[in-house]
Amino acid sequence: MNKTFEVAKYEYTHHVARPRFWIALLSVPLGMIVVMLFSIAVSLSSVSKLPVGYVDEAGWITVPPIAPEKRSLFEPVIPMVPYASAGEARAAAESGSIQAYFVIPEGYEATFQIKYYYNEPLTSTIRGQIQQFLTENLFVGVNVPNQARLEAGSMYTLVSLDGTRSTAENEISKIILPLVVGLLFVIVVLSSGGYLLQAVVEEKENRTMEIMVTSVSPNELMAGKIIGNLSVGLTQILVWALLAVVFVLVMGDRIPFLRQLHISWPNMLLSLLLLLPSFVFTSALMAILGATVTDSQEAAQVTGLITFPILIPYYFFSVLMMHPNGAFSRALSYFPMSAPVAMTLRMAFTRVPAWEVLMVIGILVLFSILTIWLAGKAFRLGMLNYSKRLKLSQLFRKEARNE
Amino acid sequence: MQSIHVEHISKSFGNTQAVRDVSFDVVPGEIFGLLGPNGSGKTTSIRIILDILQPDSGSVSILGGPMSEAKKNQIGYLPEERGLYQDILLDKCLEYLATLKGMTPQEIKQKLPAYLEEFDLCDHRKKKVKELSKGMQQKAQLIATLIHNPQVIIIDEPFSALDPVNTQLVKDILKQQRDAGKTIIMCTHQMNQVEQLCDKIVLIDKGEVLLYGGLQQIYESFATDDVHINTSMELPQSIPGVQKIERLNTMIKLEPQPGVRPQEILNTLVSQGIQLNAFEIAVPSLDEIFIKVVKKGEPSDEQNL
Repeated sequence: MNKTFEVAKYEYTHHVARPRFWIALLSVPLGMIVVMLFSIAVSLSSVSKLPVGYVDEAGWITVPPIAPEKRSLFEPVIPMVPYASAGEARAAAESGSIQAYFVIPEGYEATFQIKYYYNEPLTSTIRGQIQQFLTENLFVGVNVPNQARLEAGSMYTLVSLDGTRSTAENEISKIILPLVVGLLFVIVVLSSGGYLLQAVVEEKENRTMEIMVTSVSPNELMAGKIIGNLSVGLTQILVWALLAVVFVLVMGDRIPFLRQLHISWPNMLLSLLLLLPSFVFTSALMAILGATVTDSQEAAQVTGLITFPILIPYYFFSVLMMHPNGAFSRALSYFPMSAPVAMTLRMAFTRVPAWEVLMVIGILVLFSILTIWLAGKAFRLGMLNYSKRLKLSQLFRKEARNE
Repeated sequence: MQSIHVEHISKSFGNTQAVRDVSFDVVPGEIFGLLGPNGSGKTTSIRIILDILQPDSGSVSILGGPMSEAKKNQIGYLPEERGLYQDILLDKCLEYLATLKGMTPQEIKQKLPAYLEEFDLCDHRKKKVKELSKGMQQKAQLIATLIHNPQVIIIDEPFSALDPVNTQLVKDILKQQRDAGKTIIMCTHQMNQVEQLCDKIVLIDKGEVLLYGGLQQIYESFATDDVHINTSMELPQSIPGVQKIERLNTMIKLEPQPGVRPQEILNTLVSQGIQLNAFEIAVPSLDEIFIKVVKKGEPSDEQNL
């Protein structure tokens, strides 16, 4: 156990101490920030600054609309124009003098439902300004029956003026986080798994393996490498999470999109429970690959055998979104290699039964144990085959060390 | 009491018989030469001793029993194919390998500087291993083999890439280890090093033992009555009692007729007024014995001395 720890410590410090690790680590969030700022800049340049109309069927509005305070560089101020009826508002929208209008129906204080008719889609900036406008009015001399609910915001039904699209709520804020989590998992697994693969192949290439196995048992070596690798991956995730928290704390109020971000903590916890065994499982697969190939060039060629199944759910994103509980989506989320990403996405799109999630976690834990055992065997068999590729069938033979 | 007991081990890879019924013993305080031409089964035998491979038949006892994880800390191994991490600093690499042999950070801190000093690597400790010359890497590998004070030392071609000064250094260190009671198995093709260091040898070819015994016994068993002389005078065409005269580099080899002793040759030379600068019994070199035995190479030629 002590030697396992020493191997893990070496693998961890060896990678984490390298400047290129930190460059790669920081380039991901920096890249995301750049992409985010770029997309905000693009959307700002194309976003409509025309007024938004409103029709107060509920009779709540008493305060004349005041131009909302400009909250940040990223939020243009959109004027609000009252209309007496939905017909008038629609005519104004169709004539192009306003970009959209919303109707506050009777009984709003009970339902908090708003219908938003639009030429231009509802942006987070407009949503924020409507919320501010409604809150100011609802608090004027009125005894608000459900203040906490009011502060949570309205539910929007979005209807395009040409009638082609009608959705209950923009879902993007709900699915963006699982998407990002899945994507980060893929990046972490592939980068740190790549380190492990490279380390094993290098040990074979420079013959360090022969020294190692006369000091440590193959299983200790394998376990140490996987734990070290897992720690490198967790360090990546931790640093990214810290950077994300700092970013949200600093920029949260300035970027409207961040205010809308919906975080489901139970789902996040379940995702983490899914990702940990997947990570061990994938690392062990990488180690098996490293022990079976002859050199790093060959390793690079066959890495796709592992990365492709992990990425499969992204190829079938629309199927997962449209039919998250369909047979194909379920199959993807049960298959160990595609499970972490597929299940994370399914959980974002629908309510997945708890037994299913627990079953998939169980499958992943089982496969992790199996692949660690196989990786130990692959080490024993493949470590001295410097120029010979190990056949998969050899892994399942009984007399492993006699090969 | 032997610390390594190899008993009738055999090992095949597919249709190739790498090791066939090999047996030998090595005792503490002995440098044991494991010799043989390329592909003779030496490395496979070592891997079986180290429990990296398991034999098809036969057994190995090391330090009183089968190999165990605990015993790995008692063994220092220097493989023929050098194995150091190339992309890290020399001292970090050695520290890590020493840790895996069960040394504590305090022990390493205490012993590593002395070893680096002894092997003249102090100035290079903060260099990456890949930046070191082959000879320096070889010395570093030797430090990794010895630093944890192993009871059994198995070294494969320890002198490769070393200059004469460092070769002498390594020889001195191996002698010190032997005198300290360590068990040493040395594989090498350099027969002059074997002659200078080994107490006992086993010669393997095609996986089989061709020759096994103490070095002195082996010399005696291959000894002849040939003599080597050096003289500045011209020798006559024929010398009584000598059936063949062969000029070597600086010496002349005289092969006596059957039944003629070297003393009689010496008397004859002196009586003929030949001034001798040197006269010695021509003991066959280990190189000659090696070539002679391997060229015969048949199982029936095995000599167990």
